[in-house]
Amino acid sequence: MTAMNPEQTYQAVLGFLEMQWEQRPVPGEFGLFCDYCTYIPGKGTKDPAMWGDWLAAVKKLQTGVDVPDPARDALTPDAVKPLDSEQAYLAMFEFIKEYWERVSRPAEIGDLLGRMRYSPGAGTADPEMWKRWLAVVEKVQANR
Amino acid sequence: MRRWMSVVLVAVVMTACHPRYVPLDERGVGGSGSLDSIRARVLACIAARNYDQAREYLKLAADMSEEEQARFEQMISAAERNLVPFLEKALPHIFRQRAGHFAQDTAAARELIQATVTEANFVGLSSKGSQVYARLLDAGAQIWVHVYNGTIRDGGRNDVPWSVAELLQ
Repeated sequence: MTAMNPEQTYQAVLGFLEMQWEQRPVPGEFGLFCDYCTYIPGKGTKDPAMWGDWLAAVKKLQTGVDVPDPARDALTPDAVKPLDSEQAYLAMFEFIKEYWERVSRPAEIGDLLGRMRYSPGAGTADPEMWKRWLAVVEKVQANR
Repeated sequence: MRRWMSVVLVAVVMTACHPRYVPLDERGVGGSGSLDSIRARVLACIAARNYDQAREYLKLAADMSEEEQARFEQMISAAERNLVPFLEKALPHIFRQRAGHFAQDTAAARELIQATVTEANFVGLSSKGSQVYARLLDAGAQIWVHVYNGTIRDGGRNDVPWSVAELLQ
């Protein structure tokens, strides 16, 4: 698989979140998170801060630098390098984890993070998570 | 001798039994502990719909910043008007120095958000089940709010207003 730019990886993140939602389409903490992440072409994310949070998660993974809040709005896709599917997965994990911590760790998202936990060589705690991720990455790459 | 010892014993018992707490009307001048206590009492009074008592407790918080006092006063006033409250745990997500959000958790920002949650400003249900509210301010900016399960979960201000379709997508 070839590397993806941050916009493509974000499309994969949205695809992954949507797959999770479809498994249990019941409004709740996870549904709210998915809602805020929705990308509206020409506008950005439904919660305008989420796009910057995504780029900050990628930046942190690639450089170890935690971009603070006001500066996140100035981040552009050019500020980060392309990611392979494993790096993109890890960035997604950090992106979700940061939100989870900011809103006092709701159990529903904590449970998802538990299943998503990834160990190099061993894969995800719930093997289904990695399969779903690869499926959405493949779809995004096929569409470009 | 026995009588004298009885007097001493009574004196010791009286001293031991004398309350050591600071009288209520002298509270609020100490450290963060007393402030925390007042915050908790104000919140408890709001929950119990005892708004006059909540204001009385607020008067005791001499060390509380004017900004925080104003925020508590707004909370009391909003509860009196039956406005939809914020989910406390969502506040760090709502008030951020970011595009589309209010940078500071202030009484004015809270009022703008909470006053938007009215029937007249209801936009619709989002695809994931939250109720979306929005209104335009005179200056042209748009206040947007997401409500779920009876509490405000997200909200802020868009300098360029979003359409109904975009808000609900």
